[in-house]
Parts: sequence; structure tokens; C-alpha cells
Amino acid sequence: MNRGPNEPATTPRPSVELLERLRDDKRRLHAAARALSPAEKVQRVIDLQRIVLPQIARRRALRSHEFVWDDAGTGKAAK
Amino acid sequence: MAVNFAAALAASERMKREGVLTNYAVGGAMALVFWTEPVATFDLDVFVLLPGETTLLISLDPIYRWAAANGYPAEGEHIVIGGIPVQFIPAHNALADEAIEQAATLDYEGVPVRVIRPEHLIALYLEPSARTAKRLQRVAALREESVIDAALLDSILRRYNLELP
Repeated sequence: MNRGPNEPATTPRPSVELLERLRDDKRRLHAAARALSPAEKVQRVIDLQRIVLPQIARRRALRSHEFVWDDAGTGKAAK
Repeated sequence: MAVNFAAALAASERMKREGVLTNYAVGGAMALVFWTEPVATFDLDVFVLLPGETTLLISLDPIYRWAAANGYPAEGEHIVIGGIPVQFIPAHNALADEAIEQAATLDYEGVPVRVIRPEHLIALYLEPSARTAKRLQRVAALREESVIDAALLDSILRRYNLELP
């Protein structure tokens, strides 16, 4: 168990084995992302743009080149 | 309009064939697509060597003229090709020259594309002017998750006086 020095023994914590399994699964996901073809990775970039763009837009005005590539020419791209 | 990444890559290859560029290589975040996990980005960086660089100041006018003649609109410092904003970045020093000259020729959906090798990408990210937290994360990803030629990386870092974090 992962327990802090002054932590009561009653606080439930994940086991080292569970944490290792979670980390293993994360590593598996990263490996799967690396194994995608370049075309699939480009699609992943576009998916990431959809996630990131609204966050940027909340912080500041978008620049002319900041748009989701799939939206170019659909009127949804930032101008 | 559907995005056409292959068209953006093919345009660089055409510019090289037609003598607008001496050579080119994809760099920046989109180069990671060929070596490791993709990251969010909004443009394609193409590092270029330009012909006839006999003056101290480099002009991108020939690239912009070629783009206009081929129907690719300019948006600020980008040219939009296949729905993708592309920045053509003249090599800024000897390291960038070497990165372009020694780029790997890879395939994207049947289109040959020159891509800066991961060892040179790492070195470019470690240059003082480029060394941001975001780029250092990319350095870590390239070192941990892609096949790096350690001897080549060491040689580049030594020759250009760069240090890993």
C-alpha cells in the first residue's frame, strides 16, 4: 500500500499492484498511439485540435492559422 | 473541404522539383507523426533551403509567388495547402542545414516526404531560442518513445554544443 508517514491506517489506498496495472495500461495506450499509421496519426492530430481549440479560444483570440483542419472551408474555421 | 495532408506534403516536393526550393524537410510537431505519438498542433512546419542564397537576407517571395500561381492562399505567415496552414521556414543555422540535408525520405499515403530525423529534431528543440517547456516535453517523448540512434544524437549535440535537460 502507498501510505503517507502520518496517514491513519484506515484510509483506503490502491495497492502497488493495482497502480502498476494502471501504469501498464497507460503504457499500452501510448504504444498503440505510436503504432498508428501516419494517416491515422494525422486524424488524431485533428481530434486533438477539436479538444484544444476551445480551450485556447477561452484564453485569447485565435490566430488566423488556428482552426481545426477538417473545418477549413466549412465556415467553422477561425478567420 | 476535406483536409488533404498528402497535398500539403506533395506541394513541397513539387517546389523542390521546380527549383523554388533546393531542399526541404518536415519539422516541428507534424514531424512527430512519423516518429512517435502525435501532439496537438495547428500548422505544418517545412524547413527549407533556398536556391541562390548569395545575399545576407533571405526572401520568401519566390515561395509566395509559387503558391499564388498554384492557387494556394496566404494567411499571414502561412500558406494554406490542402486545408492546412503551412509555414516555410528558411534554415536558420548549420544545424538546420544538416537536419534538412540528412532528413529521412518516408512515405505518406503514397507521397514521398522528407522528414527531419528524431535526433535532429531533438537538437533543434534544445537550441536556446527554441528550448521551451513544451518542446522539452517533445524531446522527452522522442527519447523515451522512438528509436533514437544514441551515437548520432551524441555527435550532433557535441558538434552544436547542446545539452540534454
